[in-house]
Amino acid sequence: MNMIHRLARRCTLASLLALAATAVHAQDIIRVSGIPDENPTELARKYQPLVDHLQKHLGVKVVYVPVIDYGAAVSALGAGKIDFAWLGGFTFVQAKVMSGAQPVVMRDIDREFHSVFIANTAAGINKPEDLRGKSFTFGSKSSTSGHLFPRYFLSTQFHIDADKDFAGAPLYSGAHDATVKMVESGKVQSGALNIEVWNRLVAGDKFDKTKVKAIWTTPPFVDYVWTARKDLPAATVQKFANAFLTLDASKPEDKAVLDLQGAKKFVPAKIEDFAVIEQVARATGLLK
Amino acid sequence: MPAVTSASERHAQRARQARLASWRQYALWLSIGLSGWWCLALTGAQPTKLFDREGWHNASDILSGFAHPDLSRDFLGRVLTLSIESLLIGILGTVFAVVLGTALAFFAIRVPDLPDPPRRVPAWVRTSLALTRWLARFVLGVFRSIPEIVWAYILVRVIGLGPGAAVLAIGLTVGGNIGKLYAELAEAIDPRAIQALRATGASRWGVFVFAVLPQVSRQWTGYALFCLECNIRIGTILGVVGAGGLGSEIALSIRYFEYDKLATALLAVLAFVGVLEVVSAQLRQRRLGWTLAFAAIGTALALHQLDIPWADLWTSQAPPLFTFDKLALDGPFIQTVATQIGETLMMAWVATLVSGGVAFWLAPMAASHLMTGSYLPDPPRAGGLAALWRPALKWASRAVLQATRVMPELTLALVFVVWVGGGPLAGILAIAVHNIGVMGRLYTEVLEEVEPGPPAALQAQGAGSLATFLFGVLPQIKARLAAFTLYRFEVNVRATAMVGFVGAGGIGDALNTAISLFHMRDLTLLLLTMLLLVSVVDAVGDRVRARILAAPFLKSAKTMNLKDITT
Repeated sequence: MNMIHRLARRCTLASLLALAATAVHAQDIIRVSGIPDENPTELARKYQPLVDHLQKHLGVKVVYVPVIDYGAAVSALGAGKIDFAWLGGFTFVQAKVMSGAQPVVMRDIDREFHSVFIANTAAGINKPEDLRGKSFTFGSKSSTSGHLFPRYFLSTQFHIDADKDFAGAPLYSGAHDATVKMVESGKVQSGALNIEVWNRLVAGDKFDKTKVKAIWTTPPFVDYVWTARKDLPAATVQKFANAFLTLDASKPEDKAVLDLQGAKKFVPAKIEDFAVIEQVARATGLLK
Repeated sequence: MPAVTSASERHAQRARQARLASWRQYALWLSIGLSGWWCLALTGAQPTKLFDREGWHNASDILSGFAHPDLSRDFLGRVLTLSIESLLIGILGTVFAVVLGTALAFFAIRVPDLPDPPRRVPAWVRTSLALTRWLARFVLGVFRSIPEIVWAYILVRVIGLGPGAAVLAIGLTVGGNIGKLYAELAEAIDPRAIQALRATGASRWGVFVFAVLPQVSRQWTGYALFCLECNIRIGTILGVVGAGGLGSEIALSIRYFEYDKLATALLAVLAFVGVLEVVSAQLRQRRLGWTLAFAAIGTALALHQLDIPWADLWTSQAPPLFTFDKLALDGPFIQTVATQIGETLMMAWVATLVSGGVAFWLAPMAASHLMTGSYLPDPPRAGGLAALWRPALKWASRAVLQATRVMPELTLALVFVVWVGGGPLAGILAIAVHNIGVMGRLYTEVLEEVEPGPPAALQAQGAGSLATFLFGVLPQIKARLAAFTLYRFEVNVRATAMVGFVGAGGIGDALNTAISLFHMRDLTLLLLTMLLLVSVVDAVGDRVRARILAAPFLKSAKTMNLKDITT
């Protein structure tokens, strides 16, 4: 009996300590993360200036936690392992439905985001209707602009069922830049990705532009959003939002941060904006 | 029918029966071969893809990486750190698996009754004991029927990214395997020691420690060491789902076509798994204390180096992954799952046949007795060219068997997905290639145990290697080869579920989708399906194996399982 008592006491003590540790964590460290929609080197390049900016603005230590799986970011947010995450529209809806996460801010471009369909120039694909019977790759299974909306628009606008009408089952490259790489290599004839990544790649020299061309741009939809986990104090969330909302493109140091995000400014995000995504996700069967 | 038949009639009848039996055997082999062909066709895999224009192109791309592996200091440093992490994952995972397996095996073992029990045990005690035993076996079954990668992906969701998920995943799956085998081994021991202790009134614990453990400790450590090798191998690839180790580098290098990095990572796997096999072979020959010391040091290092959030296992607030409400089955779902189960079984079958076929020829070529030495005490010396090509062939075969075994199925699957594209073919190839090595080693060990008489007689008459093997060795080991092959089929069913995870066909793809997209209902149903599938395959396999091995002069099914220890 005595021993059980002692054990119970020790367990309570340990859990209290653990709780205390997390409480302390939440106060003087802010952990941010994001879905791994591009390769880790590029992500690190994009996040570092942002983390520096946040740290300066919030006056606490900000840590970027890299993840290599979309769902892991959603889970980590739900489990309280990270405080804020840069999620896609669909992953945000997952986080909202499963753990009550809340939207904070988004880029100006995210209110009217697009996906772009691309094809290998040797595949003889000039318009989306030609995709029927060709091989096709999405990005990650959990991607909004690399999977959800391309799938949705294929079905609603061109009556192409992604699971039946391509040559074989569609592939999932895992990330937007990987989609371009795959189409460039000819291993797959066509694909769809986030237009912001596509524009950045077209401006750079990471792939052979004679081998890949864009064939169609989708209608606009709402996408990426900075998301806060459920139990954060409102003041912390507000401060975090302000750090983004006060970014001013006319200031050189702010412009550097904005340029890396491909944005002119950040705007507040509203939960209503994502109702459409939830609908589409349920309709396509991706959200169950 | 007259009661007494003449001698000649009896003779003729026996000859007819023998002819019939041999025809039946030919028919069996033919149908097995045809079934492989048929399954291959049904999965829709086109083996020509390996060597068509695109296949060659992809293969040469991958190989070009091996010509210029990425040897920059930065990357080498990362590969080294991650290799060590994989190593520690394997060691800690094994320790965890052994602890878990032994604990569950303790409850799963059926202790034989005394011939004349002093007093009747009350019914409720017997029932509760049986229930505990059944429960322990059920838990073991659940753990082992779900492949490591699936556990790892689920655990990444529960306790976050990092090596912790891999350690626990290995612990669970391998713990299930270890527990089952440990229980089987313990039940196969000489019952007299147990009965003696029981007669003195020893408790279950006492019987376990003083009668069971001393008899099985050697076999148990042997199997644990075998698992250690497998676990370190798998530790190098579980990173594809974010569970630490080299896997993430391998997956990323493939995703971005960085074959130079891929080559470096794969060479690292080859090198350090190779070293580890040597260490493990040494440990097996030495006293038990060495193994325990190795395990203790490894565990201490691993606990120190790997940052594992143990507390999160119980207190994690991650969104749930399973649900048991609304588990109603709908038509389309059943149809999809049935197709995938069919595909998984067919892939495993084809892969087993292919690798069995290759290993059947490679194993004798790697055997000293058949290639370079002889079963005779004073063999005639091979002269001329034979003295050159025979050892060359032997070492080449050994190298192939070794290299294919070292690479985990998942890694091979990733590579084959690049080579021939996603789908069943990549999965079949991955499992087949890995199994060439595994079965080659199993077959080699069987080969080494033949009675030397018949092959020596043949060699004394001047028979060549082929004739000696076919007529002197093969008849002795045929049944056991078949039984081993069947056993590997059972293992391969689980492996096939694993390779589907990286896009190589089968039920794994559905599991991956269900976990990635948080489809809790699908995941629960799929895991239950897996459990059922693995249990059925294992049960059927056990029966068939027992029948194959039931012939005279052959070891029992139980002892064959003991042989797996050395694999």
